[in-house]
Amino acid sequence: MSIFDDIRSAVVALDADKAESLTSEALAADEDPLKVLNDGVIKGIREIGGKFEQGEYFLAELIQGADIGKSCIDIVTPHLPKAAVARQKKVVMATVRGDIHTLGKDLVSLMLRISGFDVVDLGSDVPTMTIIDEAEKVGADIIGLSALMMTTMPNQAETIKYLNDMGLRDKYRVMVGGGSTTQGWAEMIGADGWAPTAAAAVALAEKLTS
Amino acid sequence: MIGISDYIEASTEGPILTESEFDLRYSKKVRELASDFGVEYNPDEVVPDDKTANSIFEAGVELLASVGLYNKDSRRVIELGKKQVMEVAGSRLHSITFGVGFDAVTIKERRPSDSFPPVLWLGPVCPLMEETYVSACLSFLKIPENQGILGGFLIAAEGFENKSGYPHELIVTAKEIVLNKEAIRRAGRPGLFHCVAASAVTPAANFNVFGPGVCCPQTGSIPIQVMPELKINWDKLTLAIFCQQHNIHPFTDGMGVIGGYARNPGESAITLVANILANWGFSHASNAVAWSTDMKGHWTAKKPILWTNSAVVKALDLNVGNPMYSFGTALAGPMTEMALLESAAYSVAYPAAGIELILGGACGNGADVDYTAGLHGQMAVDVTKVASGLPRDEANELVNKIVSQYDDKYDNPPRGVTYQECYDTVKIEPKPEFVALYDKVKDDLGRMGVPFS
Repeated sequence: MSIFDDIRSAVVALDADKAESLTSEALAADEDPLKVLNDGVIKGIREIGGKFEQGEYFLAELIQGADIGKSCIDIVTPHLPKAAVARQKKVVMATVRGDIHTLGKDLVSLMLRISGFDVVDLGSDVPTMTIIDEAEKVGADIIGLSALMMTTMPNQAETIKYLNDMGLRDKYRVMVGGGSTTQGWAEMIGADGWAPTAAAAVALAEKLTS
Repeated sequence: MIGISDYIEASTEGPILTESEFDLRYSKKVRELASDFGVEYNPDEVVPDDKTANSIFEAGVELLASVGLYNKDSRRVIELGKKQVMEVAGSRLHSITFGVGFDAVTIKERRPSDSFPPVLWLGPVCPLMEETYVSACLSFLKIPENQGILGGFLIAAEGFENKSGYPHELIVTAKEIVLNKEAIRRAGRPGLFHCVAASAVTPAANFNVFGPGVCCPQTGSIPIQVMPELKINWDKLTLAIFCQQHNIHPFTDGMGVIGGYARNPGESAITLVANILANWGFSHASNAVAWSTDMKGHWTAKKPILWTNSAVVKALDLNVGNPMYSFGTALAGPMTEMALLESAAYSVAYPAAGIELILGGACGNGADVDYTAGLHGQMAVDVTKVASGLPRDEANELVNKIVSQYDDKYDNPPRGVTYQECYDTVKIEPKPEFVALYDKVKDDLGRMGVPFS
């Protein structure tokens, strides 16, 4: 097995110490940082995502995997040529005002992180203007809005209305999701997309930013 | 004994953790406990045996005593000792009375082997248009065995859409209670418990439905939920204080998500027991809804959900003996064979677990506007009446037969029809084709072994 395979295996095994030390060792041995990143770390975290979808890994493993991936990427990034450091697409995620349910939104945030997005997760019960202010502040590409309840779904629509009224709608792709939402709802409120699962949300985010 | 002031103090003084640190700590511990106590989901026995139920209770106590409860707002852990948790468990009431006058009902402890059926509170539990609301509720209130009305989520009133966290919410939820009261008055049952304002989310909206012309402590309540998994916020404590200062018995539940941080029904059941015990410690309630969902947000008569809810009900019944509830909800929509079968499945399973009250009759996972029909509540009445007291083995065998009729349809359940399409909304009577379907399904259930005669 190559050092890249070893890094990938350590990431998949959720062995943070080993993954970080192997990443450092590979860089010290003058291995190509891009290969360390793509064939080792990122391959590993994508495999974690796959295991989640197959029901082999769960939320706890995703949290650990995302943390390990981030610390390994932080080790590699200073060694990458400037031209190779692509700007990560930014997603501002929030469960809208009045809704305290977070599990689905947390899962989407984790899956997006694992898939290479820079996610700013604002948490739950987030006022509409806080979401928009944060999107403006970080220069988001996507705004992701979660709502579990029928009574909080209108606050997804409100965010889009505000973006329209403020003349900001074209700056962002808006995706919506959550227990009671549907494709029809997303179309009705003028969202750019709807996803029924976390994996579908990642595919949608990739499509919206491609 | 521990009380709400301890929770408030711990929420301001307890150890600080990030939410994901707490999630990982909880997740690791529940896996360890499920393994140590040998708690495993068995799809062939949706009502688990006493040994499994007792193990779930013990593991739930250990879980709460090990990881505590997390306040998301203060980011602090409310630590509880095992002795305190057991004191909470040992001091619950064994019966509670709701409603007034002739319409009052006492929910008293029942055991899995008891042949008297659980109390049924039936209702739409789905989003409703204002013009449908009272009629849809009446379709459940016409059932004499229904002893409390579970309303629906009123989606708008007086020109305002229901939006949580806005003034709109107060206008719409107050209207919801007015409509509930109108329904029970028209049903000739004015003292009936009309539960909670289903659409109220914020404390302000919940407080607003108590007062002249709306709810009083005998006929209404306020929901207090420990969020998945083992989390509260300041609002939950605020609701509990309000209930205690206004003599309201809260309507509490522990909610768990199968496939989230709890990987499977076994871990979810342990977590739910811990959630409920944690809830009672500050809400001071003696009831709880065992409410599990899967990662699709379904809270219906699927086997993993039936098992988890039954296991939690039985664990708390055997070890606490307080009134335990669960939702009876169909995934399929009204006037479908699948939804009627789903109603029958939970109506066989939950009484055999020792449940005291079923919140039943909902269809379509409670999500579609006006997708409701009282006849689905009637099925819960008819089946609980004859299935209560069935030995566990027989109940499990029967549930297996019933669920096998629909468990290949979860990805694409029949949507059914709206209330207006399956009921005469003025006479409040099911249409003849619906009655014919009901009779056919009842005959089928009889052939499967439901002892109707």
